[in-house]
Amino acid sequence: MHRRRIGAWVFAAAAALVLAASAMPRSAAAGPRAEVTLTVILARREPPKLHPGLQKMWDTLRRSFGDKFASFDLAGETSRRLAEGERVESVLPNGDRFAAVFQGVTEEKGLLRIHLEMGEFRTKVRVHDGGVFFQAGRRHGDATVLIGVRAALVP
Amino acid sequence: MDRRKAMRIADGEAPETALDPRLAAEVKAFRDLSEEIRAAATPRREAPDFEAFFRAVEARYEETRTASPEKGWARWWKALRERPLWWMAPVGAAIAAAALLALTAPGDRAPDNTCFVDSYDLDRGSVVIDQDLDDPSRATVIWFLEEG
Repeated sequence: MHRRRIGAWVFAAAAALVLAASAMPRSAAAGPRAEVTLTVILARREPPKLHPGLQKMWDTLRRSFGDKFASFDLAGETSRRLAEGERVESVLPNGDRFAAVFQGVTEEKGLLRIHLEMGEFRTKVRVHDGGVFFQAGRRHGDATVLIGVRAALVP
Repeated sequence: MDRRKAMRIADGEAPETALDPRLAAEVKAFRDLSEEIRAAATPRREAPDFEAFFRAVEARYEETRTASPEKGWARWWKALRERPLWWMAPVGAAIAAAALLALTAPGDRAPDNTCFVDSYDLDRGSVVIDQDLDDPSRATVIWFLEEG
């Protein structure tokens, strides 16, 4: 009876370890990878419009640009899974190239380092896993070009 | 002496003539005994009745099965109550795994859109960082304003 009880506890511990191992992130061994998505949006003051492809971003757009724009058109979306040092690029409606380079993860807080390049403009940012930020300001006709950058670690 | 003679007569070794009643009774007793011994020593020719044996076994089994009050789930429930480790061990393992998952998995929380702009570099124009660090759900906007 005693041996059977010990066996049951050993089985329980082994099962818990196996389940925990399957639940742990697998990025530790192979280095971090991130999925970086570039969403190119043409924003105007009016008329009120939201492209169906932007519905999932509506809350973020409203909070960030609700006081400036009412019309949001999707001009393109590019997504890539990047290893450290790799880049994802998108061509803007005005012909400029916009690139985001994944530069790894900070050791202390696990923030994702992203470098942006657009012509002579360069910037370096750190964002939380799954976080979104925008680069804006370029004009295209009567619209302002907004580029949403979402970076999330790939498990 | 009479008994030996009676045995010889019963075995057919001595003639059976003019027997007095006592000797005749002895002879008969020996013959009966010989017949009983022969019958007991001779093997039976008929096969044993296995059909009856199995009928009896089935009847006993059916009787026991229908008489048992614990059937199906009741039997399982009794086994679980008698051996709690059967269910405690897997349930404990599942709880431990769920706790680990809850601690390690990101879950469905709203993303933290806080963005730290470390540096920017440009030859012309200007940059304005529009962000509200008190509201992590609001996305940062890096405005690049060209001259003119």
